[in-house]
Amino acid sequence: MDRAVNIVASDAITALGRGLAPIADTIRQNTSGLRPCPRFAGKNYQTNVLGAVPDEVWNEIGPTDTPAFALANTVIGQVRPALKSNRIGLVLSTTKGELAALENANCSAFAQRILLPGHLAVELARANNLTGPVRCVSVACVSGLVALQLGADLIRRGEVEEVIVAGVDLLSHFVLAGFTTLKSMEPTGCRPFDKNRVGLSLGEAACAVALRLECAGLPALSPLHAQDQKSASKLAHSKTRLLAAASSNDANHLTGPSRDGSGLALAIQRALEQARVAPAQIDFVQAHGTGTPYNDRMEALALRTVFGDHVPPFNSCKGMFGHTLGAAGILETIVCLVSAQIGLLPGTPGLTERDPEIPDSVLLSPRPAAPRIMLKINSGFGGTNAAVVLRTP
Amino acid sequence: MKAFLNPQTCNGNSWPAEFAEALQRGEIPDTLWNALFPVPCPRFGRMDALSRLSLMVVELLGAQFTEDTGVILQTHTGCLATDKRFLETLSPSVFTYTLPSTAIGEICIRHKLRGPILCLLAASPDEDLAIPEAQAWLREAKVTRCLCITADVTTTTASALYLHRA
Repeated sequence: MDRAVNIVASDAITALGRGLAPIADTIRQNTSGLRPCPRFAGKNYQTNVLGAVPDEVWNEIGPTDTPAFALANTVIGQVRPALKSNRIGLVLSTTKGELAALENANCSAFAQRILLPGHLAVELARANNLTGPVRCVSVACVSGLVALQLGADLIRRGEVEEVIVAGVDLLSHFVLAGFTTLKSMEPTGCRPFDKNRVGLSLGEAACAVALRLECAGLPALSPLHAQDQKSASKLAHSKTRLLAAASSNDANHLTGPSRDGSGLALAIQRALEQARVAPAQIDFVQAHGTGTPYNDRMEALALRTVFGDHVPPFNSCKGMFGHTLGAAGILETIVCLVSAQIGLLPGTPGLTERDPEIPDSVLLSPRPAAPRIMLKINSGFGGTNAAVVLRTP
Repeated sequence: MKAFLNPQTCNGNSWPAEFAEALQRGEIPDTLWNALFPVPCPRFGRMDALSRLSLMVVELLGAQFTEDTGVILQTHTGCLATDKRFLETLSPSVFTYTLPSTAIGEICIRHKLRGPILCLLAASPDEDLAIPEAQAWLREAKVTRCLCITADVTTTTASALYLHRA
């Protein structure tokens, strides 16, 4: 039996708000959710223009000293009803998890306990009655795609039939101070693939997808078409198949990408090979597109290595909600799913004048299309690269 | 092929006397690498403890790795100690090591490894996640060789296993 894995539901909390409806609106309007964030104003960071979760969402969540747990728990709770088996797995993707508790001298014993991301994953599984295998993945900015790969592998190996893959990373003094020391942020908001790009914009998000084994004998899916109309948080992705995922290392530099893009190209080629998909079959690529000069140039080289002169339409959605680090791979995969569902390839908010080194198939604005096979790629610190191949019904 | 180290022993042998006390305190001195290994590692001095532990235990294997070798690192406390140090120093060179997967990056740079990678944060120091995952990668033909490392800074312990496809 072919143990195919489908993404059957998803949810996200981002700078755009709660749920997938704001993401769909942002794709349609090609707008940015990056704004000056009062939480981080006047504190000597390189910028406070960020993809911060809006105050109204935090107000809905309520006061908490475990905000990462609260946000991740919310999105996991939203996708949980799509899965029916008695034993559901959880793969959590994060770089810093609940680390902001380190900066809070008065935090609770629970916050102290889930400082370690492995414990955060266990507590999220417990809170949502997920009794299958629990894993916590942390591979820099490719964490989300590696977590998707691991979630699908747990299903393909027969360890479990259903898995929730969730990602969470929040803005904090730690993260902002860190990227300020590296001088890698764009003061006014990132401009991926732009001739005048300077750096990245940080964001925060929690997101989750429900993965399910596709085979005979399982109960039929009840589509999740915005069951929760109040938050419009869910859209159905019935039978969007996660065809393959792969990773690689540049073996080159800890904080800079390989200059020739060969590591990312390797990850893409591995994923295409596993998916048994030829480069010419890819309808859309959602790039990492951080907006740093080196990353975007490296990605362009990697895309040319794989696709030659026929690079498919591609975009970056970092201008929509910022770089959400450990959540990025899952969140941006969700954007692929939403794009396919609304019949629009997303544009690249922040991009106004394409860098001549970047292939001209980069999407400045949304384009009507019905992509069938999509590629999602990310790269990160430590020379990490990952790629996921998706196929819509 | 296996290797391990802890505050008492290095692959079953006592540590050089001049380092024993520091290791008992959980410190990994800058000069330890040169005392143990003939091939220098110029980056060792700038690394955090997780990267030092991981790199040392891989070197103890004494293996020649192929470029497509996969690398899986499992850690319980990850880089929490480095996170705390960054908050005290706000140094960019420390920030680089505030990701547990940086240790994988250091291993890949030293041994020119470009295979698939995975860093698992275990909920308990006793969980056995990395080896079953590596065995699955080999079974599924994702890799032909896989380097499997478990490292924890709070106990100054690390082990490494180099697995080949049968």
